Amino acid sequence: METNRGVPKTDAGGSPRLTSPTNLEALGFGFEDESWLAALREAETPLPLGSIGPYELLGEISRGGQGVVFQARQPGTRRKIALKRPLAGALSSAGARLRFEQEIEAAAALNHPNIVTVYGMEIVDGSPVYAMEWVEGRPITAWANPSSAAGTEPAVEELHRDPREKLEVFLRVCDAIQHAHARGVLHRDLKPSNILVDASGQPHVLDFGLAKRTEPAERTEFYGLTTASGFLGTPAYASPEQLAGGAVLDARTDVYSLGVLLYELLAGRHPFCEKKGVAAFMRAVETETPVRPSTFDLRLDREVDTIAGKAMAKDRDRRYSTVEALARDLRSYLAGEPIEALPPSSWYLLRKLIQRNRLASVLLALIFLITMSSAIWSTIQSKRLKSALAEAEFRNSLYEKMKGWSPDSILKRADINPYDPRRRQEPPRNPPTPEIVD
Amino acid sequence: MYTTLPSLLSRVRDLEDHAAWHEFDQRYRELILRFCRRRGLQASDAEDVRQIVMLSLAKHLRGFSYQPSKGRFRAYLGRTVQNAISRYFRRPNHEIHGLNLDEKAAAAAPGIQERDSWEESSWEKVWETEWMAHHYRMAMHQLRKSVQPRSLEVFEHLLAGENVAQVAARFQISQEAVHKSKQRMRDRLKVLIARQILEEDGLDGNQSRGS
Repeated sequence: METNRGVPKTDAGGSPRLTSPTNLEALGFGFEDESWLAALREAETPLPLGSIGPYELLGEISRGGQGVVFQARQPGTRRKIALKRPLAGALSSAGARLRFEQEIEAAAALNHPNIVTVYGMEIVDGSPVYAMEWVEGRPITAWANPSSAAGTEPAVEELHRDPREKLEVFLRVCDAIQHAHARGVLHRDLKPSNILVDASGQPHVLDFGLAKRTEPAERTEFYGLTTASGFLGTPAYASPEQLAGGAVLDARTDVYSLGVLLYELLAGRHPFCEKKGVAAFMRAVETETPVRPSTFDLRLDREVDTIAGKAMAKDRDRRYSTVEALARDLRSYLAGEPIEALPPSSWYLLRKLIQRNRLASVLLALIFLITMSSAIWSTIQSKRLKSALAEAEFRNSLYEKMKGWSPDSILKRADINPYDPRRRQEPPRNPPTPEIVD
Repeated sequence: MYTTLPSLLSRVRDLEDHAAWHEFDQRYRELILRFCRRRGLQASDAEDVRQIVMLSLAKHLRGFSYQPSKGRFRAYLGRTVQNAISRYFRRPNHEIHGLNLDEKAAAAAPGIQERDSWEESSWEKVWETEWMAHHYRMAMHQLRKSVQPRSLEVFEHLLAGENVAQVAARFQISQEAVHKSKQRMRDRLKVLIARQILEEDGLDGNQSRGS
């Protein structure tokens, strides 16, 4: 019935119900006048974030399995800080709270220029929150390969960032992680967004969100969290043993994550980026060998491929046993020294020696070439001299014998017709000695 | 891909359908958070309440069969959020910590009788306002994906607060053209919102359709 079209009815609760698209105004939508534009504007205006306790929130930075990170302003100092709060805040489960407190404890124990500084922790509205240094930077992979980062306009010199520069920054990250390991703290969630590089090129490792202390002692429940709570890391950078679950994790799990990061820094792509879907990705992590990084950047070589490959070995017994060992090999590589990851064959060691001492090697090679050339030249000259001397001696003796001969007798003895055109031919090199007849 | 509400509600009954839960969360996250903030909660508290609401929905939607004639989803969701806010403030922190997830969810979920009675009170007015804002946002999201970039650009300037004369001067077009563009956007928005509401009320099929 046309007369009923668009007339909102009411339901059992008395609330208007729309039966046709023609009468939205009855529901409160103001399309008859200009109010719809104001309502739309209002609907799209973000609400101010407000505050957490005394901290004025400036923006939400990230939201992960462990918590929410806000950019906030500290009261008093007015400086910008990062504020982290467990995901469910005051409602967090005991396990989530324990993990959160572990993070604070682990991060606060570390003091390294490449690890973000923790200012402190407090309970706000029943929830623990902790304040840390605010780092203005970009994820390490975006820094290393700016052309692959969405929404950025890289400078020309950044487009082809020198692999050595990438390795030097990566080594600082290794040093930071080694510092944590030396104090019994594993990171367990190393990924690009947890390693920010600031404008001066300094990396900062943050979010020890899954950090765990490695010494047994009084906190044995940490092991329970690691083995029983299932997977907590980020799959793309998690080690095979982390993905499989069940294993007690050690430093080699961070070595694996660093290996994936190293690969991505060098190759400009994740080793298994072509895998679609979690199942295919996990299969690849467990079974497939990634394409060598040097395939994607011709400035790289077999040695750095080998280092990344060893750090990412699927069997953790075949990986570098410590981050320090990984860093040592990278430093050897940068210094042109032999790396541990390759077998020490004589040819490889010689090649490395030459690479390491290029100027001396070139000079030595020159001296060797000059000496060899001189020796060969001397031998040839000596042979020539010998043969010239023999010939001269022969001519001399011949001359002595022919002294008293008349020209006719010489021609006769030599059986030479002076009018014969063959006379112009060269005499045989060793003519038979003429018989001397007195 | 836009999924109608009845279809989405049918899918989220399966807790393993992560894509459906993600879409559900994306669709209602801002509505819930904004409502909480309008009710005076801080951003962090609003997040906590959203967590409780999602837990409650995960628990109660498992056996849920959507029958709009018995009560609409918007009323059910509003009541769930309001209950979660009430419980959140009523319980001392140490009690909240002591609850397991099921208890928290049960505390937030409205009973059947509560779901059907939509009593007028101050929070309901706030909820209605936010519900309308939610539909404006959803429709505008669809609109941005479907209109010509030039028309959208003109409209974005109007939306940002510029008047017709300013927009006309900026784009070097007549004021009449700006007016027409604005009217077209209004008409399209109106149709989209109406369709969303009809779908929400189960009056316009329950199939997924491309955006």
